[in-house]
Amino acid sequence: MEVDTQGRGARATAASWTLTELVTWLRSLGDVRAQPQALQRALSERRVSWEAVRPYVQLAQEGCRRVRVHREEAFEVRVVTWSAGAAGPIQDHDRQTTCVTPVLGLVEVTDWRQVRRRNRPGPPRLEPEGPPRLLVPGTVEVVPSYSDAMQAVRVPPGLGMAVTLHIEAQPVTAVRIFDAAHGTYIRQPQRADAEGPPLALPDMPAATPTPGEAPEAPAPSGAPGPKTRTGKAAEVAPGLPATARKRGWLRRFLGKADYLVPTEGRSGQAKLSVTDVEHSYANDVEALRGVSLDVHSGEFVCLLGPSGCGKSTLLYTLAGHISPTGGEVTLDGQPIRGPGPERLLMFQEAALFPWLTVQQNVTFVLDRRLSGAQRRERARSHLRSVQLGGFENAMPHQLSGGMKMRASLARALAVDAPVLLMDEPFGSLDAQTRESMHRLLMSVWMRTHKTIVFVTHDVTEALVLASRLVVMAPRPGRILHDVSLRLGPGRRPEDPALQALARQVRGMLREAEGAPDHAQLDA
Amino acid sequence: MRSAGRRALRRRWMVGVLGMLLLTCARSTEPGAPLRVGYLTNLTHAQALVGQVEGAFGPGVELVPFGAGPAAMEALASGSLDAAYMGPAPALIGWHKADHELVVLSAAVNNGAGLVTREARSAQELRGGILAFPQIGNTQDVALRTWLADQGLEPGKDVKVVPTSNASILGLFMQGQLDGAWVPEPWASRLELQAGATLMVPEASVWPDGRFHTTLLVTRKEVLAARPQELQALLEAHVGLTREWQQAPDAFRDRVLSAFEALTGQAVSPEVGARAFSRLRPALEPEASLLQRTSDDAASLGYLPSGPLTGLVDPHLLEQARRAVEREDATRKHPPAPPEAR
Amino acid sequence: MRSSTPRMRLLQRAGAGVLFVALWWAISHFGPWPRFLLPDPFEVVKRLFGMAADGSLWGAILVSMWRLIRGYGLALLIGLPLGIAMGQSVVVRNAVRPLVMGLQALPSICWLPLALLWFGLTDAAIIFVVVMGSVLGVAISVNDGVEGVDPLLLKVAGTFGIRGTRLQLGVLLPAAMPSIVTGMKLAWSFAWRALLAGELLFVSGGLGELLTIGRELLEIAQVMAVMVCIVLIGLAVDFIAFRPLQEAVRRRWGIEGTA
Repeated sequence: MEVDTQGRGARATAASWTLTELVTWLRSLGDVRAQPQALQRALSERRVSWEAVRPYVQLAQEGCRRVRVHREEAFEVRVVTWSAGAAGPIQDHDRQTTCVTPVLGLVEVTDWRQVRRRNRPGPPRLEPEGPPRLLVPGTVEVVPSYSDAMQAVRVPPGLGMAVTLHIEAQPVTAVRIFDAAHGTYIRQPQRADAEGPPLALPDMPAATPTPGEAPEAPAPSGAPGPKTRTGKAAEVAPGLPATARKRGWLRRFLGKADYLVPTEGRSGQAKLSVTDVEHSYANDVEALRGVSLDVHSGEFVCLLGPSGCGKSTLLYTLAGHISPTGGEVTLDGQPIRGPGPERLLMFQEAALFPWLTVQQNVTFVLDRRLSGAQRRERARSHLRSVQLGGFENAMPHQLSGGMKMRASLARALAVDAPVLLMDEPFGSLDAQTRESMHRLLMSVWMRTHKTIVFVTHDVTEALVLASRLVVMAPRPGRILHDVSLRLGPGRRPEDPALQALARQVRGMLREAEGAPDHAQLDA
Repeated sequence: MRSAGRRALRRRWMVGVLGMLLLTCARSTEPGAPLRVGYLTNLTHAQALVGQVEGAFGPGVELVPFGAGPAAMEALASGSLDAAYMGPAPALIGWHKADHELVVLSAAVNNGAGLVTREARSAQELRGGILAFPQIGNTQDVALRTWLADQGLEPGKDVKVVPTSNASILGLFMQGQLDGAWVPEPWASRLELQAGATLMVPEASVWPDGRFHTTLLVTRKEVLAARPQELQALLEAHVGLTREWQQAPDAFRDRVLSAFEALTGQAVSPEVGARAFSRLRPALEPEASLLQRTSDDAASLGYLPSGPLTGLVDPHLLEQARRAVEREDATRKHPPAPPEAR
Repeated sequence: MRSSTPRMRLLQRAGAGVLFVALWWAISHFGPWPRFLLPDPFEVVKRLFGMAADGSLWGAILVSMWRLIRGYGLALLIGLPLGIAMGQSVVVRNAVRPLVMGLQALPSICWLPLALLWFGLTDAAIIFVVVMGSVLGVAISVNDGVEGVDPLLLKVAGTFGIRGTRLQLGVLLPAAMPSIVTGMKLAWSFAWRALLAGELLFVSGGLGELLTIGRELLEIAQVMAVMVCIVLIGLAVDFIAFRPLQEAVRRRWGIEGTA
């Protein structure tokens, strides 16, 4: 595949949008606000070309620079140039349909949601909902008007600059921004930094700038924001910006992609935080030594390793069943003192209560504050979601192993815990059932964006499920590798890419098994 | 073959079991073995007490103590005893139930029982209380229930009646858990003097002549047929002791009290002993009318069927024993002159 | 095997019963004991029906069973929480279990003299003996049942935040139920024995009194009739109460029963 230095992307099959065409089409849509799907389709099928956008690119030294392309009553089109490492604030979209697509480079979009605090008053805290989504040129992110989700956009560090095209239906004038430092929401006006060269549109004169609008003044000090420090705008580069000439990142994502990258630290409070934990059992077996791990909300972390590496010990420590002999484990900042329904642990066996029916097993663990009818309804709906629809009144001993596991999963989901800890739950199932459980688990995760920590020794399972792999080594138990998985959803075990990855991971495991016995070395 | 071997084994096993059963239930008494005679550890078995301690019955007699009459009767009927001292009620019941196998040889003691109460002075005051008696089916049981029926009190409904051993009765009385008890001597006197009770109804007061049998000497017809000489010797000793009692009551009383103390390990104070003994009467002749009355009372309680008592008493051994003892007395008082040398 | 069809089983049982009765009759008539000491089966049955007809049997059964129910009920009320406490708390277990095991070895009838002194000549004395006979058995079997609960179930309950009374009543007790029911059945038989021993030594109404009366009045047919009655009651309770209970528990818990 030819690397296109112009950054147009390798797939230049369909004709790409020019901005004039885009604006004309948007006009023809009429009520843009009400048609997010049309936007999605249009921009997915036809890319916006670099040439079209080039006149509006204004590189800043840091942060991002917004340049308006066209503004009407029904919509506004902007080109935003991001410098390396730029990050936007967490903001909503003022209930307008907005659309973002990268033209050059990559951006990462993260959804944020407010943390549910049970009986703990305090300032609102936000946590990411799901892992950040990487947008490559050709991907479109559309936020419909009825969504009041908050998002943050940034350029992943180390990948250079990026240029994105933004379409807003009914131009956004002010947005709500979350100030993490003070734990408050701030309303800020949002205007473009500059006006780009006007488009030559048929039938209509070029858009007139809205009276009273002026290029954005520097942001008031103290408020976070991606506004440029100085009003100076760099000259629009005639060709590709210097930083974009690095081809490494292009090659990485166009063709020979590197699907495993070391996990980088993320800002903000981790959902589960393990700090320098060590644990020795009664017979002086050192199960964990110096283990530190931060799991953020919405991640699917797989703990992988040979036997004796402490992955189950770590999981049980997170669950609260084990108190570590050293170090600290916290959930949302609060130290973990014992097992509890916020961190649900699923065991290798289904562990259903044998004297209750399947439905009673689920209603038994639900909150007593719900009424009986509510609990039963909840149980029924979760049982249906795991395809145990007709078996509400069956006794556990009448079910097969796979059905018992499904019932156990339904029970865990019905409680709706934000964190799920799973200790090789599918280990005793046959391959067919295991695959269907993987699909089930994946669909649940994608729907609810729970934080899941999954212990397994099966590399394929880990690669099918996880968004992050933590490889541990034994004697003493410690973390060897912590890698993030850049694979999309719907992975299949037969996929050659996945199998190649599996080979890579197995290499890591062998390294873990052969890792020098630090206990002996230290002695 | 295996099944034949198994059958042989089973046969041997059955023979062994039956043989053991037969051995354990040997009922016929063997001459040569000592005569087993039962008695109760009450003062009302005065002759037995003295005889036991002083050895008056001779080496061929083994005396076995019991707590109450029905137990002794049981042992006699089943063959563990050859003869026994017991009250008239158990003797009658045994005679009826054991197909008239029992036979009364002699009387031993008359009188010496009654109703002792804690606070009540009249029958109606006992309503709602608890009364004790030594054992179901013994003479005091019959007397108590008959008296209650006469007073219009129904056991179970108006009054609670509980069988309790004589020794426990004293303890329960002192704890205040009993309101009264129908007991033989020395328990009645002990309750009076040690527990502050009152003899509300001396049993003599409910009998027409103020006289009733308390203790009889009973045996089985089988033993009578098999070992008459030994029974005769037993009766001679019994008659001898009774005559000593009739002739020198105070001396006999002391002998009885020390025998009681030796046998039961319980000291009887002189006052209790004197009072208790004063209520007893020595007896030898079993009187048919007295026995009939006890039988009728027991019959009305449902303990035995009513009817005549023919064949219950067999006095001929007693007569023989009496004559033998009188002859011996005569020879002792007037020893025959030594044959003079002529 | 042909001999295991229900009809064959019934025939075999009936045959054995007839043989037993015939043997009894033969020994009574031709054996070494006099008839009044070993009555034949028909006299015993006649006496049994006689007692039933004149009402003395039902009165005695009522008195005995009422004592038993009170004693057994009290034993359950005390033994169940005690067993749970022993099973859950190591401290309680170490403190109490040696005492419980020691007392369990003491035949409960030995408590009667003390009971008569403490409670007097009342029903309470017999009920005390019944309780002492069965409470320790209940506690021990509940303790064993609770300790035998799959620890995974307890971990699961803990994970879901189920603690305290809800854990004890909702998880521990049902999980230990099969053992508890077996223990209850055992304790019942202890209680039954303790009751009759008590009623024989402290005669005050009930089946024990009926039996003693028969004995003292040399009515051996009555003695045997009461014995037959006692056996029948034991079988009836087992059949009506415990067997269905055990079956129900087995079915619900999904335990494979033996046939």
